[in-house]
Amino acid sequence: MDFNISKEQKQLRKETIKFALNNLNDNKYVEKFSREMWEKISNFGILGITVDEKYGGLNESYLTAAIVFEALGYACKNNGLIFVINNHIWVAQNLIYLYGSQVLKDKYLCDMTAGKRIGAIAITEAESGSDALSMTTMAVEDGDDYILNGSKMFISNGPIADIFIVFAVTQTEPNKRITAFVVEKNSEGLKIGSDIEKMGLGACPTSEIIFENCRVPKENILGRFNQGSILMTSALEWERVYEFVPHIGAMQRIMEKCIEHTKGRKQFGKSISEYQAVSHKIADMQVSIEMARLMLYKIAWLKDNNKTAFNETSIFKLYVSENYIKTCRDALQIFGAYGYTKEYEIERELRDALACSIYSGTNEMQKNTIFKIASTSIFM
Amino acid sequence: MNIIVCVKSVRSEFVGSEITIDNNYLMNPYDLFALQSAIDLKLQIDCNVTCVSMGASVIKDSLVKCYALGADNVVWLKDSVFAGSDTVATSFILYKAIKEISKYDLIVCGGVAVDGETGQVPAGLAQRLNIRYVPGVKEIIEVTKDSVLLKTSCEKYDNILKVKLPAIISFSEFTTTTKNFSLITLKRAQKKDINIYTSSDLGIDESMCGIKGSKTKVLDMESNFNKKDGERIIGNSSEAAKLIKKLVIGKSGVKNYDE
Repeated sequence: MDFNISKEQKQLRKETIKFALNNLNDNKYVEKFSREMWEKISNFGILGITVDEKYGGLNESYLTAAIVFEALGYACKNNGLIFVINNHIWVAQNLIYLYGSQVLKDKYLCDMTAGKRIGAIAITEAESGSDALSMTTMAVEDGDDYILNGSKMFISNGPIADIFIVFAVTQTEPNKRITAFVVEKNSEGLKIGSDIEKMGLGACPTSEIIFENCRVPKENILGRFNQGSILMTSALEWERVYEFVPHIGAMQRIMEKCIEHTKGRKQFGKSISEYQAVSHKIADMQVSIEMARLMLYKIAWLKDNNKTAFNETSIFKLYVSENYIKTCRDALQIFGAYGYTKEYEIERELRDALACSIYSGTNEMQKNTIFKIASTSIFM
Repeated sequence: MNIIVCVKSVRSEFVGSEITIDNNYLMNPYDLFALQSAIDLKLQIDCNVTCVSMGASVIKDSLVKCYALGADNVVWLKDSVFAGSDTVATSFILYKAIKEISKYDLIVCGGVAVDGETGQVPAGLAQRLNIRYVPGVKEIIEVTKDSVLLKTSCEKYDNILKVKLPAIISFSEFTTTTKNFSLITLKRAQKKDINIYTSSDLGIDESMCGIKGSKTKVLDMESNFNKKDGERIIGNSSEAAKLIKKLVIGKSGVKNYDE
């Protein structure tokens, strides 16, 4: 196995870090979405990183995308902004790219890779979170269209999105089936709720979206009719990787901050880095970063070779989210009272990190999945 | 119009840039300024910009960056026998390369390389090519197919000079920041061909380059960015004010500081 990164990949990583450090860390926009930041990101060309060049993308491998997004997470402290980018790319644009008809690809992809249209995915409802298939938003056929009625909740990018990938029930008997639709923001009958104030990820606006006899043309069905659960599974698989790749970069950033602080901070006559209670926390951070990277490279390899990575992504999501939170929690402890202040931004990192045990499928659900994997897998 | 830009890569510790990631070599800041000035001329006149750079594999990133910044061609003078060349040997190698390229109206250089600061190569190159040389350029004001209008600086005043082409100019200005370019631009730059010239391509004998062709030899190089040991003191604003007062009064003898 060759774990080397090519020179080209290193250069892309370097330029991404430089771009993020120079352009994306304005404190004014850490707690609110900025169109100006979005335009800079669009112009940088990162949005279409794995999309074919004919749709304005870079046609890079999933491994290169992983390297670039880890670099983005490292250099950009605005975790909410990265969350916006990831939601747009991996669970909206990517689904159209992989499963959309030629009509849908031609209609939306170029605008999405250029950042002219922002995407969002709408699965969760007020009464269906982990139990996603218990959703009640209905889509009923009406001539050349489908009529959607219902609502979706906690939709990341909701207030700023132009395109929604909406999952709705299209069959109830004999079995419940769902279908994915591409719904444009200005569709009649679509209402966007107000921004929901959250504990963290302030730069990523979140809202309810409501469908009241919302008309969607049949040509906007994404993937196959009544086969939305396959798309949903795929969407969650992508989300579990690329939503969490930048967290590895964030862990690296936080660890470096801790190392710098512990060298300068002296107590009882010596640097606190010399106390094992402190240095072992940093050692734990380093271990988790390396392990996360190894898992990531395997997943990227699977994706680049058109293989499914459902099991691996579940384990990856669980591991990265638990250790990202632990890294932030340990950083808070290392920084002490300073970490508790706003100025040092450690408290914000922790507030941002806590969400990742919930989104993309809660960690409890991942453990259920992993238990099933463990129970049925054969070593040889 | 044909413009040649001579570019050198130097160890990153000499650049002193805050952002040094992954790579030990960065473009010499004076050459970077020169290159960006040359690229800006494309807005004024139809021109072809060729970058010429000598070095080992470590400089590849800088060469790709030349394309990303807008160069039309990149020539890499790559041969182990070039290693250790002083300014005499370097100007000879560059001279041979430029003769090989053959088409040039304006040659643009940084005034000095931050790792050596001799400032001799542009002058040596001008001597060998037998063309006009103007050092201390701050800005290219205007360029036509026959001449270039320059702002140059001396110690106490600036000059505006009109210089007939062909000519070599070197810049007294520098920069460590490049204009933002997109990943798309970088990817396209990575795919472009870099023309490699070796000593045999240029007809250069070993005795005329490298250590053998040099009149001087660099024995050692060290950075003079002395990072002094410091102590980090964490405290509240009242404690900080007391400390500053102690340090300031202690050094300058200021007596009328009120608490």
